[in-house]
Amino acid sequence: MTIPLDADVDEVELIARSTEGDLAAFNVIVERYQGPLYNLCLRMLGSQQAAEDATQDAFIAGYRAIGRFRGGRSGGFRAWLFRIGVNVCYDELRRRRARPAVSLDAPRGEGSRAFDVPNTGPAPEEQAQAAELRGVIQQGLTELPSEQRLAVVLCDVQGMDYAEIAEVMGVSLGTVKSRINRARARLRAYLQSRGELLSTRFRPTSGDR
Amino acid sequence: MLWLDKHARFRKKLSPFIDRRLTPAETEQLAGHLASCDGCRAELERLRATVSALRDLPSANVPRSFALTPQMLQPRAARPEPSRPLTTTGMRLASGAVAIVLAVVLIGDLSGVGGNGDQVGGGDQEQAATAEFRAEGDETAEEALAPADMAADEGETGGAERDAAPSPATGQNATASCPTANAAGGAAAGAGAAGTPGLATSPSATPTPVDAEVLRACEEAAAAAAGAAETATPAVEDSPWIVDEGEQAEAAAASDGGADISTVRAAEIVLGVSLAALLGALVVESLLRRRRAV
Repeated sequence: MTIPLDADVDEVELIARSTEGDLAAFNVIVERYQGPLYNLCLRMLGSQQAAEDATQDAFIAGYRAIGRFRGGRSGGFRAWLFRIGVNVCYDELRRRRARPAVSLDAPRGEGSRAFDVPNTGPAPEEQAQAAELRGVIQQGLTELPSEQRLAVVLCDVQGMDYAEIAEVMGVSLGTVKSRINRARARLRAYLQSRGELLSTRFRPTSGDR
Repeated sequence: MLWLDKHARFRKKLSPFIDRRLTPAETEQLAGHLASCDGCRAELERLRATVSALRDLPSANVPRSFALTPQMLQPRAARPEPSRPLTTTGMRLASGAVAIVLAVVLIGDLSGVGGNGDQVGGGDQEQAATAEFRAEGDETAEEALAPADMAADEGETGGAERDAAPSPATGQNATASCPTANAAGGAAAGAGAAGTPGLATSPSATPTPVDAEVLRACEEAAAAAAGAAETATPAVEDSPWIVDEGEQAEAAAASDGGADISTVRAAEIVLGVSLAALLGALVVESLLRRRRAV
């Protein structure tokens, strides 16, 4: 069952019914947001299993807390839901730090595999290079401080605007800007050191957003 | 240094420039600089490439549906807590028991050794208190007889005792004599009756006015001397019976108490150490469990 993403009126209704305990209504919301939320958790935590757990926990927490959602803010429900997901991810990252035996870096194999998608267009060599680049990018993301990682993922991977990012992260616009700046600069340095920014490999995008 | 500052300032603006978040004036300034600066232009291209790589990251498909089921919403259903192992429960019970026993021993120890002079050890105190209670209330022949025997032995000093008791001035004296007097409450009546041999044969030791007077005086004395009766030796020159009694009790207490004290101390040390060990083990185990838990 696909729900059109621009059905905001539906969403208000769904939220209201969820608040009254209508689990089926909330599961429509789940279906709508699980893709982006799962991907966010995947980029933040670097592992498929961790991302699954975090996504599920986030939706459970969201259902329990939906009575506290107050609409009308910039970003609205998505920002509110993602904020819950971010907190779940932060909790997991804190737990990992408490157990240093678990490597903070995503295992390269698992990280790359998680992001592989069937590619029908380019030649196999390009596919391989693209896959390698994706793996290196995830490595670079994992090495960022978690706040910078979150900012740049929300901005460049999820395509959120600065205001909504500020909502999700619970920080000011200025903080959002500076975290994005620093994250991009560090990631740039990382990719460069891994030889991934050779102009022959990259085709500059036609325009900036 | 100025060169570095200028380029550093412009490079900070490259990221918002990519996001079209600069003001028109800032944009114009930056564009002008980039036109003549290869270094900053190269940095802009590298940043753009980074952002493109991020934007081109493919979205992973969800591996499964995350729809909620009622079971997921049970308290703690998503992540069942590991059941506490039996050893932990056992240790907690043991810690509790040891703590209680240690507390009892400590209380008994503190109240016994520092208590009234001739009441060494809680047992004596308890006996005296019980006897006092009984003296105030109904008195049976046996209770009256036992202290009555004591008093009868020192019959000639019974009067002295009676005389000494009502004088609360001598705090130690009175306090020392009070319990014994109360214990011999029934006997005091008999002693007050000039130590008549009829004492032993008069089981009904109903409190006489003298006895009541003794009791009242004793209560006053006890109240006045509260806390003061810590010295082991009651200085009662005019009541040899009491002195003897006190010394007797004290001697007995010393011999018993000496052994008691060291035993009590040893028990306290052992209990304290084992309690500390149990608590320490519990803390360590909970820390380990927390580290292992997801």
